[in-house]
Amino acid sequence: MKNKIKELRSSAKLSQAELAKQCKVSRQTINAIENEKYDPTLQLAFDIAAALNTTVDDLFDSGTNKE
Amino acid sequence: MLFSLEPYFLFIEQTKMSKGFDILKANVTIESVKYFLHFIKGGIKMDWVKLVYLGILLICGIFILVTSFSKKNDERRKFINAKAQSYAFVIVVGALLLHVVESMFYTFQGTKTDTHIVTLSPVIFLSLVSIVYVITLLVYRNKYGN
Repeated sequence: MKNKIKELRSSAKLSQAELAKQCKVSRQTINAIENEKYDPTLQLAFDIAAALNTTVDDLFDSGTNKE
Repeated sequence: MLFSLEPYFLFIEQTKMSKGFDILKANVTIESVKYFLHFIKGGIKMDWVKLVYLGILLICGIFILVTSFSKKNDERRKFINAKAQSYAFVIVVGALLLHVVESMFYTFQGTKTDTHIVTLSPVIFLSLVSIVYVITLLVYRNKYGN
């Protein structure tokens, strides 16, 4: 799933390890999500959104066209 | 069949005919002699193969235990473990189904003997499941970005 984690994390000046620590997951998991290799659970998506001061809607692009 | 029974039957026939040892008086069944000979033959010729085989099995077993029961795993690792476990489960079910089908086949054919048990050796079965688990684990680790 496409996401803006990398951009938002860079603008928040957070490293992958720091974000991972805040979300209580491994750095590899954050890396896998950023590289669109793994889709996080809803809980982790909310945790990442909260850590980056944004919403899940803004963070992830499901790819469906909304009218 | 994993091994040919022909040499054992030949050996048993020769033993029966020899004067020094009467297999029927010694109260030894043909089946038990076959297993004994199989054990002896395997023990002499397959020492190194068995050692390597058991070594791989042990490593796979330890790997499974370490990865599956670690509480430090995050959700992605748990997801990967679950995937690997589900594939291992499919293999277990598949192998058991094959064994059931094989047993039914031999039963209906009327040629079922104890030697057919060899096809589902616990060591081979455990090794197969362990190896499938480890391979699936490594494949999914790569797929989900490790």
